[in-house]
Amino acid sequence: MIQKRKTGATNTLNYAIKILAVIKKDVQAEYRARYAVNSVLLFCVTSLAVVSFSLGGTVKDPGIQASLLWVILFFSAMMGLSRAFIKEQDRGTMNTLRLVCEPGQVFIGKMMMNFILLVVVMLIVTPLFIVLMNIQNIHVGYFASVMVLSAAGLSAVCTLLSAVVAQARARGTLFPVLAFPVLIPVFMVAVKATEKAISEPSPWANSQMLVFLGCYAVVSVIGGSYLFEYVFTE
Amino acid sequence: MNSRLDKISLEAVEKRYGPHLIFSGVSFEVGKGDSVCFWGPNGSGKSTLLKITAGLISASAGKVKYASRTKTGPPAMYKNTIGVVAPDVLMYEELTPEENLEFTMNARGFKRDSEYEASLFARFDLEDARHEQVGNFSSGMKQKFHIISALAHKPSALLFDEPSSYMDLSGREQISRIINEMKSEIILIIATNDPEEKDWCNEYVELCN
Repeated sequence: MIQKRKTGATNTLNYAIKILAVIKKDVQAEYRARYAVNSVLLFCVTSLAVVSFSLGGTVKDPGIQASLLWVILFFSAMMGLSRAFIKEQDRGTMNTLRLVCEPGQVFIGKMMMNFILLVVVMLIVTPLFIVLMNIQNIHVGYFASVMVLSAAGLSAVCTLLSAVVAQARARGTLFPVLAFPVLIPVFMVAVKATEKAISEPSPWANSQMLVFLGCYAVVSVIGGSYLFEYVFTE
Repeated sequence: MNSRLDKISLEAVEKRYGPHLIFSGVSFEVGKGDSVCFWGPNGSGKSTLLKITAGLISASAGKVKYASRTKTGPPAMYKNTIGVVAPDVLMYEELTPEENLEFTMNARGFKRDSEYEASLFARFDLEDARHEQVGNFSSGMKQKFHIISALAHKPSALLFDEPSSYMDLSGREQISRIINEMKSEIILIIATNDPEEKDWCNEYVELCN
């Protein structure tokens, strides 16, 4: 029994090390080449500047403010997260991944890398957006929960779809076309939940939205892990 | 480090892309100490057959089986026991050879053998380039590093697609020497239309257009 438990723990540890290897490799490559970070940040800052200069002081409606924030985050996600497998395909390293990794470890590793990227973008964009749009009443805990749970769902879905479109020719257009219907539920709820976070003093009364975002993230991760094997192996 | 792979067999393997037949009825069996060359003109499907043998793409019909002393299974079951060098199995250009090997070995769940790795780098005259980004290498250096990374986990089978392409004379000699040293201990499969590389093998599978 003890031996079995030890073996189980060792297997989990080994699997975690393998996933970390994928994340570390992606972080090192991104740090050196900055494929995603530069384009995503440039897009975010540009769109943020346009939105704030044209609407900055005039838009007071929390619903519109939340929508604007998520429009910026949605298109950033479309630009950055789609690259997870496209760059592997373009650089001839997809087969290397197939040879050295298990599909599950690639999916989890890439998804975590996308999650990190999205959280970094959110950490930069959101404070700037709050300042530029002059949003004063914000429930930080609820707002952060919305962002983290949405980022988890977005990363899982975008990672799977990135692998699907990586081998297609019209991948630039195919990715948003495939992503839009799958991501619509999470965006609708995220916009509503963000609106509550910036308009209500105690938004926890709307915790069902967080439950939905959490469930979406869990289903996306589990579903993605199962489906990914079929996409990745050919 | 690896459970030994003793035999690779292909049974009536066929590959089609849509209605276009690339090859059909390819059957052979190779064991430890055997070496096979996939030989044929451009477009005959040598690289495709090598990728099917490595489990990187699936065959339209037929079976690819890998076997150890205890069990037989698909290539995916034994992928940690093979080393592949092919034009579309590349290493990460943003990383150094050291970082690339750290990734591939950790991802496979293997411990690194630093002495063995150092000896491989020395044999291919790449000791001084271990901490440079692979993207800065010449084509010949990249090819040498691809061979090092295919050998780093001490595989039981080597699957090479034109291994000495981009290499100068000394590079070709280095590969030839290594292959001749290892040949009796491994399964060697080479896809090529270079007569010199064909001579490294004992048998060949000829593909026609």
